[in-house]
Amino acid sequence: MKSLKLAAVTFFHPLVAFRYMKSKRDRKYNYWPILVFLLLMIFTKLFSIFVTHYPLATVDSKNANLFLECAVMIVPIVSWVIASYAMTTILGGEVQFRECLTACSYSLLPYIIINIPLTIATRVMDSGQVGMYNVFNNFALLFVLLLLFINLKEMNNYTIPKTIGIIVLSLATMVLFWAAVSLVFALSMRFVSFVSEIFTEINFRINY
Amino acid sequence: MRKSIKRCLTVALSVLVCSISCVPAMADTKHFVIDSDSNMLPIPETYTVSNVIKNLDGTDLAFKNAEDLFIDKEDNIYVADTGNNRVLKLDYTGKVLLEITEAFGTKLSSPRGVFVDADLNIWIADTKNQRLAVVTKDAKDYIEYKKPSGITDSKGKTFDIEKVVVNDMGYIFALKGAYVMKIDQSNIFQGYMGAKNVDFSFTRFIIRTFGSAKQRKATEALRPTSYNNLTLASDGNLYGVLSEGTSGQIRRLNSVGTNTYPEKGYGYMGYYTDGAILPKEPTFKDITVDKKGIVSVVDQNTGLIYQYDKEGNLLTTFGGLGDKKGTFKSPCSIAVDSKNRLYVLDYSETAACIQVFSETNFITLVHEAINLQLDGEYTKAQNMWEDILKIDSSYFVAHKSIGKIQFKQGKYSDSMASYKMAEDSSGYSEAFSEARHEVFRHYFFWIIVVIVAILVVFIKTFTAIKKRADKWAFDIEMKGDM
Repeated sequence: MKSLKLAAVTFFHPLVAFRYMKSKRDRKYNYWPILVFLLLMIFTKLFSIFVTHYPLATVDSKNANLFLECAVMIVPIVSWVIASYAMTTILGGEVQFRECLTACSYSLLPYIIINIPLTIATRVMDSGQVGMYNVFNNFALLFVLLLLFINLKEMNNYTIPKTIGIIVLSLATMVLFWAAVSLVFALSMRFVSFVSEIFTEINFRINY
Repeated sequence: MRKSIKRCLTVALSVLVCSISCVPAMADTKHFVIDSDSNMLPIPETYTVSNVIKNLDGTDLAFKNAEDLFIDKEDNIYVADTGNNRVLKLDYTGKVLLEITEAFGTKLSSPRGVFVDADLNIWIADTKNQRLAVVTKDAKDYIEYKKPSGITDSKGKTFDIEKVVVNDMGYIFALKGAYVMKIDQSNIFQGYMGAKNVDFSFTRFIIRTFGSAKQRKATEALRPTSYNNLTLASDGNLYGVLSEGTSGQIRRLNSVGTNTYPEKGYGYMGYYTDGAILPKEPTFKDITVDKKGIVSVVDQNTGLIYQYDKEGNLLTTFGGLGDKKGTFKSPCSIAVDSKNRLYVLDYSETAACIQVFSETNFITLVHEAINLQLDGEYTKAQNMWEDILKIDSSYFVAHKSIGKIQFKQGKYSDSMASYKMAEDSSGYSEAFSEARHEVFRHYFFWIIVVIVAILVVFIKTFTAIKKRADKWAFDIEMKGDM
């Protein structure tokens, strides 16, 4: 119940809400909102893939890769949380990891609130209204980005220039993080193929 | 123990082999169309090889690097046999009817283009002699065009033209390098015909802004995309294929020179099914148009022949590179005769021949349906399209055409379904907006009521939630908790 109230406050008074999120460190932490909001975001994505009217749909629901579509939503959010948390710990932030995660989950609220009715509304739109559709979509995106900015600023008591600096650094960290992940992946694939080649070699030695 | 190791190894080996053998699957003799996601969808066979003209009856020399093919209104075949410095007139069986080796006392030298006008005069682009030679149907000298007067710029120093087309008004269109020259009958130069405006390029912008003087100079010589070949259709339109680009490569120019063919990407530019990337975008080498306006183009990179209808819908794709009958080594020219047979000339020396493709029943039906629809016989056309769908239930053009007919009949919801099958979202959208309009007219009052109700409920809830949220926020500010 309290989470719902807090969601409403996030939508109308984000500054207050984000400050409140880290003010109660003494009580038992409630992890449910994180899970609920992330699941709702995935649900919204799937809903918009399957329900958006055909002329406005960018993804073909029949042969869409649902796993990929969900990953495209989840991966940036999670890596943003990790990267920005890492940056704030180094550079005089005040936030805990779980609070950062909670705040980012709450920040997804506008996307969910705007996209679900918009998707339903597309059922009566044709391709002439694509401009209107994009305006609402971009509005939702901007709203989410604004909330992410505010939560970073408010929860760490940063000034605006410092927040911008942290954002740039966090983005760079994200890139580095994924570069490292893909490097490890590539190297381990090399290793796997190396081992399998040795097996092939041995096989030839034994059998021929 | 040994057995299980062996089994493990076999599994590992087969995984390895599978991952290696992912070579691009060239659709060599398959016939297909392309959907909106660039997937190749197989369709029934559309053309079969009915004749191969290779052994010429009446001359000792075989084709050598022949570059151009033309078919006149009497279905005679003309070949610009470039490597042998001659122009041949053949019949369907490969019998030589006429061999032109000289005109106006000069031997032909690498003639690269041939065109035959309505009076059966033969226009030869005698490239190395820098002239345009015209002979009558009996190979008697008729007119000779040297470099036209009125060219002032450096591009027109030479007159080594490669292809020639003469339209009904007597204008000569000569392709020379990257330019199409328009010349009138009295050999006066009328101007160059540009193909397309130069697109904005970010790289060029950067070079022009920050580059050195030398680098900037290199970008100045930038030319618009040029034509690779031209052809004249029976309706008087001039069709051309561009030498590069990824959209609007096929162009239909009306008498004032504006393009009336849809500006979209032609040819297959997606990925093959196993993910291998195509070498490059298609390079259309030649184009031909039949009496009803069906366009066939040949792509030199992949050896594929694409056929489009008047509105740029893909009807079929076939051919490909290979050694088998029905595939090509290096196709360079395509022509169509009055029986809708397609003639494809191969440039390569090892496979120098003309392959003649005859229509199968399937594509004949498609062409007939298109013609019926163009003539306004909608019910007949619809029946025919439905017959085609019985043969190939996913043929896009059939669904699209049925959708269009249903739209004209006012059956909007049926039309929407057909357009959806055709993966045509703009057609679907058009039908949908008509259907929506009908619903609006029927239930206008109730729709307004519902909209107003939704708006009122929305505003009420919004303000109510906002009021509560204001209070909660105030509580947090004051008491530190909600």
